[in-house]
Amino acid sequence: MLQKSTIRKVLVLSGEIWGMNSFILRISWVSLISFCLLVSLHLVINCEAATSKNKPYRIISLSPSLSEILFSIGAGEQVIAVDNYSNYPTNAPKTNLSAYEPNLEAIASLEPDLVIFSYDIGHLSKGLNLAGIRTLLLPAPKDFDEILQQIKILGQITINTKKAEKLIFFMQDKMGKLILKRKKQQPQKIYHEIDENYYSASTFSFIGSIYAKLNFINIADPADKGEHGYPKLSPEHIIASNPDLIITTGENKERILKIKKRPGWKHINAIRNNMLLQINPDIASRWGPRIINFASDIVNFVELD
Amino acid sequence: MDRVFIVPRRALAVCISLVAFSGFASVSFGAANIEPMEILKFLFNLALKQDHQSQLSEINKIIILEWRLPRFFLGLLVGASLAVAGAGFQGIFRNPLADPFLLGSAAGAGLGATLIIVSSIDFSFFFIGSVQMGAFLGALGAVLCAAAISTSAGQTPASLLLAGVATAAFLTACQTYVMQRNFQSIQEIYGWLIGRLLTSGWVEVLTLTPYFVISFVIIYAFSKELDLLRLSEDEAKSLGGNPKRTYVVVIICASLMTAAAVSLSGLIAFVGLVIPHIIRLTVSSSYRVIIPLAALSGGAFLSIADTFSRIIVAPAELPIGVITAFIGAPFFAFLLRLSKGII
Repeated sequence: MLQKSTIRKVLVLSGEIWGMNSFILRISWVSLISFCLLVSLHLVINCEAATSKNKPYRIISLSPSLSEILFSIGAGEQVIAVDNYSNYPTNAPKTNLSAYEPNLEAIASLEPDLVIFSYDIGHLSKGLNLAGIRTLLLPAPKDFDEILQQIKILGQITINTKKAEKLIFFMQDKMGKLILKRKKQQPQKIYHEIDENYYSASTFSFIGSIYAKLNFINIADPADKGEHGYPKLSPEHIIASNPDLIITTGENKERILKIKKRPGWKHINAIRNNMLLQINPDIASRWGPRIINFASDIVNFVELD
Repeated sequence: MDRVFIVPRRALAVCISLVAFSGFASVSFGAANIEPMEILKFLFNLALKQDHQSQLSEINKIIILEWRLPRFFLGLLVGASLAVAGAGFQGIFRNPLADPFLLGSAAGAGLGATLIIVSSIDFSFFFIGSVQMGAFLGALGAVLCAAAISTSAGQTPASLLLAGVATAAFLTACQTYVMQRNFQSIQEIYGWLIGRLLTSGWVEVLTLTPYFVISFVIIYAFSKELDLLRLSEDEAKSLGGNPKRTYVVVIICASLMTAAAVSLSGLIAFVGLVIPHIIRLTVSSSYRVIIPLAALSGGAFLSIADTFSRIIVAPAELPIGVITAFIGAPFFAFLLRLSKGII
């Protein structure tokens, strides 16, 4: 049994070891004990918003891709606000809410009943759930099938299941037709350039998975042993791989001219045959119904050759 | 026999009222427009446990209690931790340019957080997120590394400083490498690095409190030793101090505080360096005064800076490190001009 005298001896001994006077020692011990008490009494009340089966009528979407999906499955009337990058469709209620630096109070003051986003940053789901606001996190998908799954989920949660199924069927059908078209053609080597530092998208990115489905060989794959999805290539590797098609994003035609002028690049098949395609960056970076536009733009471009 | 508590009363009153003002500002401002007087009434009634029919809506009550108030306390604790740690390091190294990140804790925390973000490990470790844990362990690991290196180089503050610089450089290089290899996470990593006071609910505040309280009490207990250290080591010993013990204890406590603060708020650079100097220039050079006043004013300063960062470009937020530098640097330069060589 720990007696008072033993405790006192321990305290004085430890005091002697450190040479502290007993006043400071007492304070330190008291702080240590209160710390232990705090930790053991520490309970977090995690307030998960009740999962009601009601139809949400005040949806806020903080993801341009998910905004596009919502408006394509007929949930547009249920959306009260979208983030500052959600520019499609043009009649979407764009606000200056940011998806990358979400401001909890700004979101909450709009009194939503459901907030949908792809990027859980800044305590977004935790903070909103504490306030009793329902949240749904749908991060960037890995491939085409995951896009369809997300459409299904959004259909269920906004109670628009029929329209969601229609959209899924339509997209599968179109994609199937494009795959068939591509099967008749040669598999081509493709280089998708994200920026001027030769960052590319491999098959392990979501764009790359679309290319893979369309029977393209991605020259970025050998550089992505770690399967991260976005390797940085070296210009020698690109020239040595000799892609047949180069795809880049942007609106500025200058970009294509610059690529053509790169030293040593004029021997690449894609440049010799003028197979360079520049795609609207919104279509190339978002996952939603317009991914079909993206795929068909590429397939049609290749077919024209 | 000295008086035990030598902080001048006027300075103490000013610092406490700064804290109160920053509390009021922090709670009143935000993207949701709530009447400040209503907020005060609500809080007073809550504190006094009176039943008052508040005119605030339920969501506004939650905004105040779960979003704004914890954020204010987090700012207070982080600012106080960084300021006290900075003062402690300035005392140990007898170097006016010392700041809490001196021994590589910033680089270590950055590397730890980067690794966790990139590996997408996500678990709750005693209510603390994995990124915070990674940053905390990284910061402590870096300081231990620096201490280990300096031990073999002869344990003096100078060698510890240099070991810290080497550790910081190496860990920063590692972190840059990891960021480059994981290009798609760069935005998230950068967002963590520039520092922000994000909190909802009281978990973070309750996690940081024990670290701050214990470390502050210990460092304050050693403030007399830090004063003695302003003379040389030998003179300090002859006056009854114990420099070696002081180095160990203060460095451990300051590093713990810094690691805990940084893991929750990211890297906020300016506070730990400048707040102790401001106290030194305006009140007194004694650490028995600097340590408690730096805690109060560091906390108030960070809270005010955080409130600014929420107001200026609402509803977006400026990163808090930018605000602290913008406000702090000119103010410090102004004080320096008036100082006539006290530093």
